[in-house]
Amino acid sequence: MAKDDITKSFKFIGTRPNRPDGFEKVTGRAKYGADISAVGMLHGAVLRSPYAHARIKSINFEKAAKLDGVKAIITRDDFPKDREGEPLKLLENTIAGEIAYYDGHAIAAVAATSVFTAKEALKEIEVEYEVLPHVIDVDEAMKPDAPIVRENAGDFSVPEGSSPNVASYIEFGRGDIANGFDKADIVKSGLFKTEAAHQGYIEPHACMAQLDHNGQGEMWVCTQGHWYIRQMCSEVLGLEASKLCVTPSEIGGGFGGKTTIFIEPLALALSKKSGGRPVKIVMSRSEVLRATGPTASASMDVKIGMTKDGYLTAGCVEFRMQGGAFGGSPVSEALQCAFASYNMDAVHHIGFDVLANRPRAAAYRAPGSPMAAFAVESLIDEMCTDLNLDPIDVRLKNAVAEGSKSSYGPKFKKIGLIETLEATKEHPNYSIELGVNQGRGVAAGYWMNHGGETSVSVSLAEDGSVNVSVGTPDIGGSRASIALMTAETYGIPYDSVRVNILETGALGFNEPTHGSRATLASGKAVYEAANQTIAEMCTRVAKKWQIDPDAVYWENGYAKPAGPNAGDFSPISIKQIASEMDQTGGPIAGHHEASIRGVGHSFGVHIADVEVDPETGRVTVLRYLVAQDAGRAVHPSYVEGQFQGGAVQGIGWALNEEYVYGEDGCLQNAAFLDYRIPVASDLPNIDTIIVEVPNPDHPFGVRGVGETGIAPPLPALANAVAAATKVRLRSLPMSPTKVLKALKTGNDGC
Amino acid sequence: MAVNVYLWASLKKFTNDKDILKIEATTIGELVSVLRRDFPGLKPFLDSGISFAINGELSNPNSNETIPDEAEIYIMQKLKGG
Amino acid sequence: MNKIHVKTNINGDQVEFLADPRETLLDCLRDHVGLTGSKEGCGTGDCGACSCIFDGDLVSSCLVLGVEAEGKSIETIEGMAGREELHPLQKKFIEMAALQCGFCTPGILVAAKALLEKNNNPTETEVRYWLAGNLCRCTGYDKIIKAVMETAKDIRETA
Repeated sequence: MAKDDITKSFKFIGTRPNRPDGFEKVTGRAKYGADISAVGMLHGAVLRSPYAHARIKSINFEKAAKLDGVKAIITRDDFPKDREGEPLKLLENTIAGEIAYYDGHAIAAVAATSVFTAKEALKEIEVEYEVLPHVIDVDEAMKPDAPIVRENAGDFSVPEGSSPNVASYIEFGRGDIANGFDKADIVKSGLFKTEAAHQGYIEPHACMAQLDHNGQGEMWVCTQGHWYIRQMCSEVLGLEASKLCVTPSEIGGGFGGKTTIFIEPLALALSKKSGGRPVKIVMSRSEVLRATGPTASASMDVKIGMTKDGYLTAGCVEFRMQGGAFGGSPVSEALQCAFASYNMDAVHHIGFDVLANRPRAAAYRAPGSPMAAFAVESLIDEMCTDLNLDPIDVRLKNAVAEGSKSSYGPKFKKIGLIETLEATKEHPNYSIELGVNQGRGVAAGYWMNHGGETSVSVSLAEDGSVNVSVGTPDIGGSRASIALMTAETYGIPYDSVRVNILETGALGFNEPTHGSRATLASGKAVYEAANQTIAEMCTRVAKKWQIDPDAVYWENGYAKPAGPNAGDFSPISIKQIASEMDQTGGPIAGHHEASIRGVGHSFGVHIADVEVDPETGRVTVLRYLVAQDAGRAVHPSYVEGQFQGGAVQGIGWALNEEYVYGEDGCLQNAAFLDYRIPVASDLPNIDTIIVEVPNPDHPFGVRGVGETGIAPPLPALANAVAAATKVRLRSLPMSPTKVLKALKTGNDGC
Repeated sequence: MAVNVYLWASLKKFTNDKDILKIEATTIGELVSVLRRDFPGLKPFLDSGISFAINGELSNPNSNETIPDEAEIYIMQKLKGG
Repeated sequence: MNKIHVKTNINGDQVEFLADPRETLLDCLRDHVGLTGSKEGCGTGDCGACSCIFDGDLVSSCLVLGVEAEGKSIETIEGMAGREELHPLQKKFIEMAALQCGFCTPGILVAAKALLEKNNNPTETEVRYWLAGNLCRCTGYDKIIKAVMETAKDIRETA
């Protein structure tokens, strides 16, 4: 369906009003994690391991404690000793016990009356380390003689005889692989590698926490999910969850990296030890890069069979991913995404989650999907080139649709990959002529999206405006989209809806703003809650008119009689109902709690045009197009924003960004100068096509859109560089040095 | 009523080498109980956090949820996102 | 270390504070004057989130010492809007959705204002290079650049 046909039927959804929190954000008034202070507040600083792997033999902080202004010093001894399972892993990553597992691993923390005093105190803490051998690279970590990162790391899934650094193993597939490859006209294999990247949010982690001896505490923190913060801190510290009230600040970016804990338990523990004084900890940029949760690095083998007219017959992948010293790389999600876009009878997937002496990986926008897309979409592109086939046509031939069996098993419901491919093919960018040293690359990408636990409430204010209370922090405009859906449901002006994000004590559990779920899940729940209030308003009006409640219906902000038989009554506005509510039965409010279902998958297709400088190896992006199925774009500007932001993160990952380690296992580029994310002068405009194949399971047809956009750029740029240079790079990033080497020697980087 | 439950191949070692199991159950809770009872080796997987796909719809587990007739049920690792 | 008494002018107001000589101007604005609109994204002058105008020059305030503010005139994001109205750039940013999380926005607005005061007819390339010192991770810069270009156009038309 064309976009215009759908959006014509809505009054508010699909429009582009100003976001309700725009004023605070453009004036600097909005309060982020570090923008808070309190009377008696102390400043926290964290001592971190300078070694990639070391036994901590002793920690002596006598000298540090004597410094004037130092009020508390903590080590692992200040934390419970009986944690197990996931809480133990969280605790271990928060602060080291016997072993420091990565460069930057927290060892101790200090709270003092000034930041300078806290930092001086760190220098006075004496730590005796026994340096241990370390391993950084995922394939190195799987070799038989690799240093063992943690003993007994393998879980129930790991086959016997596996490397001791394999934490878990996955295998799934279907069909007759051998037969599938036999039927192919060409079979191609490749090894593809990606390096770890950081989410790169501009706001470093920051929190202010206060915890007293009764276990009662408060926290102000920049986070994607404050219930997760509450749950994780309670688990790590042995607190009663409901005694800890967590308030989310505005958040300066997260992309998955702020769905877990790093400094938060440290701030709470310091506060308790100082006698309950508030403690503020703000991470420096180098701490963020060294000691939060970058994504995994990956080494991937792919083998695909294709007929000469472009049909995929079989596919095999083996992905090896390191997610740091505690496991948790997104290898199973990566495998699920690998062939998800294609109808294939025979697929086989193997995945290894491998340990290395690196920080614990956290989620990063469609975790695992970009790496998988890079490997599979690059190889498919190579085969299209070999067979001289159009890359979009090949994808159209194999594209999944409603009813297709996904590569990971379940049948797809209604999805929009074909529509997205067609829209991409028709776009003028696909036929712009290219010049010397220029090339065009196409790639598809996929993300499942997520629903999850959601709890919201909606209430009428005395003047007929509506207050919406949600638990999903607003990272990119979700206040606006939720307000639009609310306005649409009531038929009242967008400006009379106020969306607030409440602290943990005010609502039931909410999963974070992750998994592209805020607009989908909070929106769906708000729709239900709003309809409860509408039913109540109709009931009150029915009583006023002395007719049956079924004879009253709601339209465009008014309660109306259902037909001439109901009676000759003038419609009553929400404003009037609200002004009388104290006299007709009291406050009018609704709430909805659910584990939200009906998630719609989102497919994207990108076109990248590049120019490669043969003298310097520099890749310039000339033109970039994102086409993606949004289901329904509630606020098109913010949907475009997600497409563009995801694409640019992918461009950065493909061309510049990587974690560089020294021989000593320490991070070499722990600052924005050398961990180089895209800047404005690197990029052209990012063109967008919003495709709308509505999600039948959502009242407004919404699909999550935030994540898919980061997956296609990695292969799209690799494909474009290959087209421009006739040399294929199979290792990211395609930095100038790597590109030059490839141009000179044909080396694919692996 | 019997439903088909699909598990990933890496779990076959706990299910007598089968990755498709026919389970008698009317709710998700019953289904998980049967799995735990008949295939105790699956315990760590079931405890690790799982997602269900019931007739293609992904969801968090809800033990009270009724399983539709002839449902196709996939059990996978818990999905989240970033 | 003894603190130093600093007298300075911020957004048109005479302001005084005690600064540790090691503190940056950014630290002093945020911690002593309560102006938390300027942000610290990196502390090393790479991200531009702390952009301020320091005696007419666009600076990263994390690279200026607080004590250097003595006798100078400083403009921060908090001084950008008028009493009755937002600055045209601020309005345009909201209208064109040129912000998502909003963290880099104060720095970008201060920098963009400095550009348009110097040159109200920049090319797209000139805008991109001028803003190359302001990192944004959410938007991919597209709507930011368009908002600055549109504002420049509006300013030229009303001039």
